[in-house]
Amino acid sequence: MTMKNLFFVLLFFLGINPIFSQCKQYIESIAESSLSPYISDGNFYTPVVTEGDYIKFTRTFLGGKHYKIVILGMDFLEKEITIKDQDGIVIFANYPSRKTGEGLYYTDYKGNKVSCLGSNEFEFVLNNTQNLLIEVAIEKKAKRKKYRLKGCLGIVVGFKE
Amino acid sequence: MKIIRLIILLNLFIAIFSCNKKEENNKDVVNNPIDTAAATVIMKQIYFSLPSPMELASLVDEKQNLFDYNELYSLDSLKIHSSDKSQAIIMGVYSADLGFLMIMNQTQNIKSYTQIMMKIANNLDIRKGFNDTLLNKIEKNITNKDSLVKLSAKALFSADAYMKENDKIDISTLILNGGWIESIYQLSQILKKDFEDTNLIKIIIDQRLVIDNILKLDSIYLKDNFCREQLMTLKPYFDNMITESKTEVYDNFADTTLLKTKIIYTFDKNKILNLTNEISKVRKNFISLQ
Repeated sequence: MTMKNLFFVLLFFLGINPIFSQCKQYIESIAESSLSPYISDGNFYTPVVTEGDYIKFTRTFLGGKHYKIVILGMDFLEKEITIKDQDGIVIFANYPSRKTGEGLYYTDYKGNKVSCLGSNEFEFVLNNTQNLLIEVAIEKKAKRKKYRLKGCLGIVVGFKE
Repeated sequence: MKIIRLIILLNLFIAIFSCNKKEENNKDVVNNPIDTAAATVIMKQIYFSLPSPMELASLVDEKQNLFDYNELYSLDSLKIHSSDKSQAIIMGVYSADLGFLMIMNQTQNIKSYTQIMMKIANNLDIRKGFNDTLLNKIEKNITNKDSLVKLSAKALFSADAYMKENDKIDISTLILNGGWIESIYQLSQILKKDFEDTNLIKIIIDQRLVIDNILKLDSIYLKDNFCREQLMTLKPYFDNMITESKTEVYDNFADTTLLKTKIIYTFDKNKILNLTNEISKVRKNFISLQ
């Protein structure tokens, strides 16, 4: 058996986990630069998701601090991101309102008005400390009925001193 | 060998295109919060997180004159912690202490706290992030607070990634517990020296939100009840601290009317003193665990 064939055999017995492991390593490697100039809070969340999945992430954010939330992941997974405050009010959504067709805007750390549409990151300051709920729904393409794409996400949070 | 290659390719294919099979067991089907007209989606996972010790320390960075190095957990005390559980909690405690040292510009002790964290990381087999490279970089940047904060955050992030990749999420959760209790202990010690600081009182009271998230984390990832029981003794002191009232607001995006909670803080000195004393007790129990 050649080394090349041995590699394939090993890959087979190791199964599919290395694929997601690599995905998570990739997310880890880009997390710091995606948060810049914010400092990572040191926590790493990389759920493996399939189209049609929906994940929730709750975190306490301190009043008066500047934050950045970034949702990383494979481009082929279409991510609908919603961030709600403690009262359930939508403060960020990267898709247009179903009712008005309009998108939301926020002001980044440089003071620029930024559209939330299509964005995977959100910069903000809260007046008071509160728990925010981050929801990520992985859209499923209506055309494909027999299979669903699978991949990993990264949810990272940065703050400014 | 062609057959083997074919099987492997099939394996890879399955990894990316999973079957469109109905999810089973422990998956709550919920209405899509984004589009109520869309088909239901599967609730896959729920995560809870909390502010890092560095974040909490940075809220009081102007209080350097009230910060007391002697309140940090002694470096000599590591030897009493023999179990993995105890060492993980103490790693969290030291990570909070390191955060406070960096934020408070106490550069002379940063190296020794980093070294002790490296030692625990080695004992717990979570050395990724806490290695000689980190120590060298810290030594080179010892006078640059911004760089030190970034280096420390990066090391903690790498360690956390490693733990979550290697079925050590219980260790990661214990570290979070230790880090949080030490952080609020240090904040409460600063408050004791300036009880008129309403801003710091609010910061401490706001931790009532964090304790709920930690309790949820503990119930998911820790088999042992030690941390949960300790935090449950603290919770009533936080719950007793504020009153709430509700007012009606309009949410433009969702086009629905929601009730918005307005928090009213009550600064009863006795209650706050009781809370800070209870924080000290719980912290003592954490650091006494062997």
